[in-house]
Amino acid sequence: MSATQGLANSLPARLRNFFARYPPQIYSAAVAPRPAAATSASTEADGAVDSSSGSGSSTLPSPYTPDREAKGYKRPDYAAFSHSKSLLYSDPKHPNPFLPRKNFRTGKWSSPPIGLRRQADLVKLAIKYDVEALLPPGPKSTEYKVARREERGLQVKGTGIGQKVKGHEWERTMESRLEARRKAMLEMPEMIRSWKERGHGRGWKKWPK
Amino acid sequence: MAKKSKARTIAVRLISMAMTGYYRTMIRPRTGRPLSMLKYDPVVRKKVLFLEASRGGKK
Repeated sequence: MSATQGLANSLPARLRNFFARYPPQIYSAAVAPRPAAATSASTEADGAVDSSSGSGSSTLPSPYTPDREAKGYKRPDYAAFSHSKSLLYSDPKHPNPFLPRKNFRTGKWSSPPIGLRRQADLVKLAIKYDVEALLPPGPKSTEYKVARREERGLQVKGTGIGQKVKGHEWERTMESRLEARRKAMLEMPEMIRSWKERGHGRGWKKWPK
Repeated sequence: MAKKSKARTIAVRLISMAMTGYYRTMIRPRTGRPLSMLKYDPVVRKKVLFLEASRGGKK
């Protein structure tokens, strides 16, 4: 206990405040539930949530109570997640402060309580003081970055199979514009001939818009 | 107050018929015929037909 006390005292205030708000024994990456291992736990947790919402609906019957199962809601297949994606899993009981949350009542996503910039600051500080394992898993963690690099390598967005680089508008429309120009140039001698025939524009009908 | 009388001449835009987006602006009498002429289009590097664009958008 004294050792942890000493460690806690040696940390900068920012990290100390973070660990006071999000205790590592609940939130840290080491104890964070992994979806593959925690399918039963998550179903239990979901069951608890469902039962609580069910009790809520029994006390307050509302036609607007979301019945997600009946609406065709599919539980995410955690087993199919890639390693890096499965790292970013938030326990419904103790939502990870580094991850966004979906509010199932309103269907809206809320941002993580700690944004990416502050996450990066915290992770850098934690690495400096060698306590990164005590932080919750997040997109800035070394583990996540390594897993993602292993999966994707140095892949740039848009260069994968079935993906497209959007590019600038002039790049996207280049082909059709050149085609229109080519066609117009093919018809140009004929156009000029008829323009000369019609008195250099006197009888011309097709003026451009 | 009396309405301001319209100018005698108007500025018109002559559009290259090579569909390059190149155009020239010229001034002609308001009452005259629409302009059309052969002019050099630097995009296709040729003399092409330029026709006056009708101003559909403006009243």
